[in-house]
Amino acid sequence: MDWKKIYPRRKEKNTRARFHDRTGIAKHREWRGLKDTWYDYTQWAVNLGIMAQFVAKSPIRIVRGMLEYRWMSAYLGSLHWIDKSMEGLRGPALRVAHIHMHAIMRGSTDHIANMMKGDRRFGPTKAADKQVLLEQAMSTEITAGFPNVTPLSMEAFQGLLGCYMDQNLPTFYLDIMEHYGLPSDSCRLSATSTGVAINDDYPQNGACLIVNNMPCDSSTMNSQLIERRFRIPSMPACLPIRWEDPKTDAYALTQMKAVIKFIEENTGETFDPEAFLSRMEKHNQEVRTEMEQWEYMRTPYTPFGMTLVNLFHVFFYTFSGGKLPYVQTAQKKALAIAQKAFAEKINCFPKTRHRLLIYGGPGCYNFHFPTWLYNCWGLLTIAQMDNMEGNVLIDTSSVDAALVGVAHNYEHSIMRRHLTGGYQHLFECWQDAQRFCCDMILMYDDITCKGAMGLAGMINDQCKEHPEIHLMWVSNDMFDHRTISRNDMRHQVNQYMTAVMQEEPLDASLMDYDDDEGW
Amino acid sequence: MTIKLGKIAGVCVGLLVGSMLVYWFNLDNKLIYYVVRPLLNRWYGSRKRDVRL
Amino acid sequence: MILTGSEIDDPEFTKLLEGCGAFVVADRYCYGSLPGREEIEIREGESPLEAIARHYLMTSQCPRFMNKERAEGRRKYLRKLVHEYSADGVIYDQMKFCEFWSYERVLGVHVLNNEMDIPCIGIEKDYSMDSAGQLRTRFQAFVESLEIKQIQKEG
Repeated sequence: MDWKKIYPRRKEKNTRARFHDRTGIAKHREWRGLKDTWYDYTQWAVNLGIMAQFVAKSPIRIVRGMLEYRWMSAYLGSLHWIDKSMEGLRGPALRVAHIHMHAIMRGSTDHIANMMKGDRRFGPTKAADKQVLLEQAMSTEITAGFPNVTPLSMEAFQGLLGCYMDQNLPTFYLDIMEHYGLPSDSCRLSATSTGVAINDDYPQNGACLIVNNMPCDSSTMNSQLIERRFRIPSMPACLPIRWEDPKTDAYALTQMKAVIKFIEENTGETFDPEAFLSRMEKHNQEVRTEMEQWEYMRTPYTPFGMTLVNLFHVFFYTFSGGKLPYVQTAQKKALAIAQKAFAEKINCFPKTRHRLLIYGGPGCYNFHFPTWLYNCWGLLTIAQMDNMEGNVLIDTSSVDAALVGVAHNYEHSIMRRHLTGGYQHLFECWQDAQRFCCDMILMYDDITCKGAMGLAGMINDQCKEHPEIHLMWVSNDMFDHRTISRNDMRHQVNQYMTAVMQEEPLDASLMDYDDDEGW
Repeated sequence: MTIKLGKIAGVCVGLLVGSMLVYWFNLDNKLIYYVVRPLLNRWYGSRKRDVRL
Repeated sequence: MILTGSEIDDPEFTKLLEGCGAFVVADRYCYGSLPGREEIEIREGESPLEAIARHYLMTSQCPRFMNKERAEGRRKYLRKLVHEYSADGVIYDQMKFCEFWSYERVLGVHVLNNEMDIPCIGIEKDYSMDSAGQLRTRFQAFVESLEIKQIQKEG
């Protein structure tokens, strides 16, 4: 396919001038033309409304939470973060991004509000007795049979999402962990989560805690330190590591049933098979809609791209699983826009020169890297590795079959299949590049992820078998921008694009700038 | 009645213009970055926490 | 001294430690004497393979066993060894880049020192013996601290 014909080259001038040096705070918001700027303004007002609703859910506890927990202050930068996610977007792409973002905002604010409502630190609360804490990468399907139980993600807001919001947040917790002797070459995500626990920055939520045997070594180990801070019963959901072997299904089923029994014992609720199966049908609907979306992502007229296509998937995988009705509404609205763009042959990302697939452990402190890739070099991120998370259709013919399906859904989460738990990303990155018609792959090289590092040589070998696809390595330190800064990551891409691809940037002002003091 | 409606309309227009100015000049993020977050960070630094393994 | 840690199979390391005035009474490495050399009981009706699998699951002290009981059990096991072998202290030896033992070392040193009142230090070293000089200094300091403690106890 001749991408030059479909995506004519365009150049922008000096977009970096809109930002203050070092802080990255915009002097003014982006001018997108009258219609799109007005639309962006109205969506900004909607986001303000969502935040106001959030505070109204439990104003005293939420204010107390803000004054108590350092990580909560990072979320004050949500509007800045949203602006950065939308940089360069116009027309259908802008609308789809805002639709996804509203769902993410609603879900996230609901989640944080529930955390504060159930926080025993602020006084006795009955809400906590019906909350179940889930460790990272455990989605909420396992609690689907308990309609009165609120699942809460234990680490996502303190660690991962906090890092997305503010690159300087995780470094505080990392320093605490290293002060206690943890080597600096261990996974930064797990180290940050442990630092949060050591600093006593987890809300005191929940009737019980479910951890899991994530193949990530660090994640397995940090559970042991974090559990010391939670004075509630905990159990590990030990899912099969060799999940590709169907003989492990029986073991997975016993583990799922053990988790259900544990929840029943600690919350006083009884598992409701009908509610469970009904939720699984909704989960399946979410997955089917996602698959339909992928069909549009394969075309040149996709309005899905850059940063949010990935985040929305991770969001609904982790927090919804059929639970959140506004997720399904958002999916349908976005799909309607995609159908219209396809029918009218609208090029939603006109600056595109190359279609990019991103794989590997990302630099979470540089969450908006795909935005920069598009605006500086015309590299449109079509999909990321996180998009491949889950996507399991669950057999709802019986409760046992559905529980095995839930286990499979967990087993298809990111680190179980890619990077550390499995080697599937060796093959899938090439298959996915072809599936999404990408001519470039950006492979993140997280310097603390030893699992992924072990396979780097094999990935390089495979490049010889795929000469039609350019593979570009970008090193990062996942949560610690002090080791490899955002600008260092940009330099790596700049070097590749100028030396190997022999191209000039769309906007030279974006090539080199310092934003170390920014969020 | 007309005066009351006029006042309400005036307030609404004022809010609209004010919010558009805040939006366009990014005053919300500037306030948070330069004022609110530094104050909060100072507050967090001053608090004693139960730091232990 | 009791040594615990990752996959350490270099006798030079033990010699280095004993050259600093310590005597290694037991080792609890990944493939060490304990629990590696314990008898594998074949129960009635059990095949040898099943017995080995059960033994590995039940007795392994690998930090990969992540549930609370097993995690706490590893420290209790060390305390039992300290009493059984009349050891004065424990050294946690983490091989560099082993994430399991990096966390286990951090927590283990804290628990043994502060909760079980067993003198303990943790070191991180490469698979090879490149940093022998630094290790020697640390071991000498640890042995001295134990001797001082003993003198104070007797005094």
